[in-house]
Amino acid sequence: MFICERHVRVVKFPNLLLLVAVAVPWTGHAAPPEPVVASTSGRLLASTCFQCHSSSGFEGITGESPSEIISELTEMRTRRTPEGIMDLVARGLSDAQIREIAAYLATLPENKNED
Amino acid sequence: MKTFSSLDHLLQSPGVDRRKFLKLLGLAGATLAIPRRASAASPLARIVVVGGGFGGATAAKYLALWGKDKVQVTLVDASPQHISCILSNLVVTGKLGMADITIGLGTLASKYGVNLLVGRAMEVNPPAKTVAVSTTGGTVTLPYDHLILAPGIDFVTPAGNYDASLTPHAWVAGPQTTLLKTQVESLKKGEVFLMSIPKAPYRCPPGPYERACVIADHIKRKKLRGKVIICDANPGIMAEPVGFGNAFTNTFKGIVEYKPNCAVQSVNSATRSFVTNLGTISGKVANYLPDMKAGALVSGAGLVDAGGRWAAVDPLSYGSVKYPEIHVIGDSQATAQPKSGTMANAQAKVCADAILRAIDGQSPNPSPVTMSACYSPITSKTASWLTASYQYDAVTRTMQRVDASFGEARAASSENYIDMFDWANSLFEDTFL
Repeated sequence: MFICERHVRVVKFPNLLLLVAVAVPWTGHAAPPEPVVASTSGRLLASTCFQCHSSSGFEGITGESPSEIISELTEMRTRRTPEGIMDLVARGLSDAQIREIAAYLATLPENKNED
Repeated sequence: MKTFSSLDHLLQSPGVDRRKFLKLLGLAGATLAIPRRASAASPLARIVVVGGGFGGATAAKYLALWGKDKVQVTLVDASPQHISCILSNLVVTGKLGMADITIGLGTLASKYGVNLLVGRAMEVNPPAKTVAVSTTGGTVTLPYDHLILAPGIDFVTPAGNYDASLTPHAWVAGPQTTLLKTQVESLKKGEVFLMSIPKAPYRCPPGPYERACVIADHIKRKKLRGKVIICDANPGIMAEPVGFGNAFTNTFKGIVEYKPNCAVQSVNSATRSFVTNLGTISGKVANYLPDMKAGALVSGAGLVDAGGRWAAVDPLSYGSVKYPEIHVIGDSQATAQPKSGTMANAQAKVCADAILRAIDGQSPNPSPVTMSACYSPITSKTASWLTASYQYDAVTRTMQRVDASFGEARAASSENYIDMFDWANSLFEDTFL
């Protein structure tokens, strides 16, 4: 089911979704520690990113500091002429939403996917 | 059979490579239902999801992932595997095989604890909050606290003697895809591939233009000197007008004949011809895309207004305006967001979050964002892309496109073609694995 035109691909591990599954604090029966973002708002916003940024997709986006993510998204949003998809996607987000996404993604372990 | 814990162990081992990982997932996929660990606390909310496509599978997965000890999720689908419409045009041209676009639903059970029920959902009983499912073992009645309907599209039968086995739509991937592929392969020198595009909204705005391009590319590469004639009921190209316009005018000059404002009034499947406002047009292959409407289960539950085709919902939760605990996501709902797999995936997450908040006595997130980003093959080596994001507008209570986020690739490119597979693989993983 996995399609790849690049016949030789660098083996990538671990799976980001697995990381999401094991790393988010609301797994298990013990009282979960509060995530950095107390509401589910950052989690919901960031979940849209995983459409393209899961382990089989484009580069990993977890494990960076909030300021790194904010600065990257802000740069994409303010690029004079949007070129790639992300330059447009970033234009669809408010400042507050970018901050929420960055804060949530920073709570997740780094995904090694550098594709 | 791999157990849940041994699979977890293997997936966390740094030595497991992609091939082995996928093989393991395949093995795990053989297990259709693994009982979830019951919580000793309050009873689990019963959530039934009907439809294992991009909307339903994402909803089931994220509800189970985010709501682990709060919900019991049952996913109902007539098949234990989903065949993706995304990339299916490349199956029509022989570039990919059916196996490449077929994804098992079993991982949702083995990895996330979703109960998978293979059967056809027949009827929803909103007052009783039950849904009846016809299975090989008889009818099962599932009670629900929240019901998510993601059945995709249904078709409106046109006037004439329309027969999808003669003039395939191939707009639901599966046997129709294979049938259209066979017909395209049979095209000989100088023959015409005729297709129709229904009035919007329909599933996958760029899809018909993408199909026209890859079939024109097939005709060009095989030096068939044939034609692709497009009868578009819309006034112009509905998605990526620059890219597809350029492809029709330049890349496939002399092959594609694009007719805007050309509405099919009746279909003659026997003669492979359409009667249109511009006269009768025939082809060797006639790919008729019918008008589309919400899945039968959605209309059967009374969620579609008389005269309408789609179910009106509150886009903060995708709860039906008629029965808020029945949620409609993906192609069947009536918001003005595009009907696409990525959009269904995004809506599913908003819906899952809103349901989990409701279980906790909270109101939905007041400012959800959804988006639809997709790649389209243009030739056997190039692709384009399209993206748009949507924000909630509290005044009109609708999702509104953020115009600055809306755009298409400057030109089809081989780089986009490679990226297209990263995009599809990632979306498949985020939805099903």
